Amino acid sequence: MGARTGREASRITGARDIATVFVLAAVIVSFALLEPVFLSTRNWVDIGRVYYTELAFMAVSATIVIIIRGIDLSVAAIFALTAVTIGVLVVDHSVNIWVAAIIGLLVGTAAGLLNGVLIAYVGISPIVTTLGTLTLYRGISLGITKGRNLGGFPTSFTDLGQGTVLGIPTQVWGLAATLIIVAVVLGRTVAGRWMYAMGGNPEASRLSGIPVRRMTLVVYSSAGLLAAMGGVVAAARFNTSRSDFATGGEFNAITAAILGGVSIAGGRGKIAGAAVGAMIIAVLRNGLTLRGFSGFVQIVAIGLILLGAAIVDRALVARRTAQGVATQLENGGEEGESAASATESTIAEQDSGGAPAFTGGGPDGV
Amino acid sequence: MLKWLKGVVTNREVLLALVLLAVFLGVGIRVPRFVSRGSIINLLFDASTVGIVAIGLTIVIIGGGIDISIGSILVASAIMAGLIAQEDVSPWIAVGTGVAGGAALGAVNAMLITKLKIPPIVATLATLSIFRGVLTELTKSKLIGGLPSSFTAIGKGRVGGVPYPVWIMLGLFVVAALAMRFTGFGRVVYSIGSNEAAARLSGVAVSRYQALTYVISGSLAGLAGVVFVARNGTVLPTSGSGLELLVIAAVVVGGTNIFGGEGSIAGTAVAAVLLQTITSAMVVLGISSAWQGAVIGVTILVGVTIFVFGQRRRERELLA
Repeated sequence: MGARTGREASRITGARDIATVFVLAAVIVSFALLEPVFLSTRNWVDIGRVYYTELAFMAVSATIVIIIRGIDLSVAAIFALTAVTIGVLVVDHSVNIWVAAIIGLLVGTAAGLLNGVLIAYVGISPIVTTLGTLTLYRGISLGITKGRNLGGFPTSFTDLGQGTVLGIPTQVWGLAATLIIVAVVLGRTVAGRWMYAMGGNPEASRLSGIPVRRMTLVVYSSAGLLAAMGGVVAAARFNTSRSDFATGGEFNAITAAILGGVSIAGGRGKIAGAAVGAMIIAVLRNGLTLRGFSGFVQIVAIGLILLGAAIVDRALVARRTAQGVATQLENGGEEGESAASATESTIAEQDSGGAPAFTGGGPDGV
Repeated sequence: MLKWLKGVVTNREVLLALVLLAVFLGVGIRVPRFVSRGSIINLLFDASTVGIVAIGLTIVIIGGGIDISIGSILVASAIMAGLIAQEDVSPWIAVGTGVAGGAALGAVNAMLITKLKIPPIVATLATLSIFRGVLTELTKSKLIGGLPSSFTAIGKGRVGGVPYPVWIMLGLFVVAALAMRFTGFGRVVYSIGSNEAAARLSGVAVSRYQALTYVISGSLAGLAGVVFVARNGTVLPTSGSGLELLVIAAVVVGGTNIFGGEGSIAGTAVAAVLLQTITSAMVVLGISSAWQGAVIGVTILVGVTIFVFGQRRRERELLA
């Protein structure tokens, strides 16, 4: 029974992954044909540096939270808070840049931890919690900088955002290492399995002995750390920090995750998918900029691709339901039962798809 | 009597109103002009955009949905109304265009959510980008300005010393509160939000009512867009960005359950005014404007924490 449902589930994610990679390939081929410089090494260095890495850090952050059926609207605010923490410490308090960077990462992690505490222990829903902390963290960033640009960092630090190693931007190496670590944790560890279980069925997870509250803290703290890493890269790349860094970036991060096949209802999605989703957005923005299209055309294109992805998701889930029913009708006995359980789970998924999208760890619905 | 009093005081809307009153009087003691008639009118004037949009979003959220495209609908409708108003037509035609435009965009959301079954957050995340992008791209060469005074009067004119937008907001609060409380529509929206499957099984046309909530939300965002452009005389492509977060904040601080089924227009109304009062109070108290965001963030978190604790206590009492 397990084998059969497992196979069906992997067929779904398989089809979805192929669709995601196909969209990326289609976007790359179109721009390569339209714009000769698009495929140049220099342009790809540019994509990695300017368009991709910081978005991908935030997308991974958003992904691990969405997998446990949460949502983090404060991801871009944590990103900015980290950057300005570094700026304030270095400029106003003459702190060593590396010490400042580490404090920045700690502040980002603490910001994530506060989200986790409010969600898991106070019991406020993820969307409301992170809406409040989004305002709070942006507010603190503006408050401590008073709107100033704080920068002028040593080159050893700015090399993180402006330099290259073996021809590839330094931050892309850091991102790659991070992606591998997070992917291994999700795919190969008990903690990863717990996270998918929490997203799939929070109540059953709790009853089966998964430390749901503690895991929620760990996941939101890790999400804070990942967003903070993006913030460090941004401070290094711009050689400055501002409280309005990545304004609205939470929406891009969530979009990248959904493009990559991460289910907004939780329990499903991969880090590789989020990485590809972020790449689609990065390549699209870069290509449209090369073609001279404004930021507004770019956001429309991203919005349309997001809608397309959502429609494909619905179609795949609907097909799986239909197949499940068909198998159930064909076979009796155990086979039929297994198909029935598969069908039930997809119907449950559909219901959560049509219902309010923000479900999550908080026991109370405020 | 004591029990009745306790019931009144622990009522969300009353509690919020008491907090609002306390903030008012507290600031008023330090800065007496804060409680003057003119100051209160200005405060309501500043709250009117969020207030009008928040009515629609409250209805959507009570019905179990969410709409984060409202800021984009506002700006798109403002552009449409502004472009029409520039042609020196009757101001009513411009108003109608803005509201109808907002309703049409709300209908797009409704179709994506109820027909294509895309989760509301994903659908409106996409249209958040699409609405703003398409409208600003189509109209990028046409600057909005030099609007006729007959049109700008909608945003600036006063009756009895109170600006029209405040009357519009207050009027809509009353109408929406009565509609949600006393009509079949209101009852159906609450029932869908608290248990969609049960509502469907009991014969409610769930999709149709859900669709209607998004159209209402779109129309009100459209109306707010009209008021916005009439008041400011122009509209920028970036106007109203981030508005969705402020509006959701007003709705949840007002006690509406983000998962649907619970909440009230009155709560939203008081919360919208409360958030604006806190912002204005910081200005008159001379608190650096840089810290306003942080204070609003803390207000949101404290507000919802109190409600969560209140809810838990009620649940315990029910069990006991």
